[in-house]
Amino acid sequence: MSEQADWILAIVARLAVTSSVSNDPGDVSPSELRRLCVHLARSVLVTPRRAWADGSVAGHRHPERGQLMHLHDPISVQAAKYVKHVLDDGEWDADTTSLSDYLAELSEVVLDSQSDLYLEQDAGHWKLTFGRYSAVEAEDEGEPYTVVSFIPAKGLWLSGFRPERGRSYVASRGVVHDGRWIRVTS
Amino acid sequence: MDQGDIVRIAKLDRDLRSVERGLRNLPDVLTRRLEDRQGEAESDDRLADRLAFQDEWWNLIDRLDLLRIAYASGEMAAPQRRTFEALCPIILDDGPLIRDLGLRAPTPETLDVARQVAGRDIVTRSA
Repeated sequence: MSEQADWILAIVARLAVTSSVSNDPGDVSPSELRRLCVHLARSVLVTPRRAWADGSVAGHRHPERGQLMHLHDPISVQAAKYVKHVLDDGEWDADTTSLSDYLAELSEVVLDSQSDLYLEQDAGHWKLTFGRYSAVEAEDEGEPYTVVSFIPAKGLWLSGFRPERGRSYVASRGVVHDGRWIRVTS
Repeated sequence: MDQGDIVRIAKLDRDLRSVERGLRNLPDVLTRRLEDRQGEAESDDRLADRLAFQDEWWNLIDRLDLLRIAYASGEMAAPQRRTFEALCPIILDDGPLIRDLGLRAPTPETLDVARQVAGRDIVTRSA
């Protein structure tokens, strides 16, 4: 674990003891929360990590190197998620969204102090999910809602995508525990 | 047909492909998980892969449920209806895999439609 992990663990632990009341970051200050978000967006999100081509990635061309990918080919997690959610599932316009565009939008969601922020336990780890409607001026359920999730204490980015059910997806999953909104826009 | 119809049809096509690929991919996912369990402690890469897949699968089940609604309400074109109907036996056959992987099961409404379309009387419902 990196030497940065101590302060991250401390912030997450303090977030975790907050009440289940929405919009309650407990005693974590705005600047501490900002520091965590910057770390997640500018370091964790973009640090290449190994993944494997699954059925949604195989058959597509690598977004940077151009070669046709096969099942189980090694690939960075950033490229794998881009292929799955942009090229394969069409959650973004594949004609106008490059890999760097995709990552830039995810980064914006994490850095936006108005984005929703949800904390929950998943498989024994505290997971943070950021969420934001793509058009702030049109926050209805028809607008794409982008989620970006991390296991902060392990420095792991999990995924970034646009769930079908928008914001309601975030707190609806029955497989996680102790979920609470740290920040949620009305 | 207006632009809205074109967009809706394209999304249904895309969602059908996405869900079919997800369902057909499950045996491979289970194989990988079993290989992981035989190894040493789960690596962080594998942990992230597993948790991300679980979240994305949750969304796939929501997508499948919206397809079921589109199918039941007559919003699908004939080729799309045939594609959805071809998915129904796979939805039912994947039940044990979904359970073994600890993933979210299709909604009861989706399972009911799948059972009707596939002409099966017995379907396993699991959380």
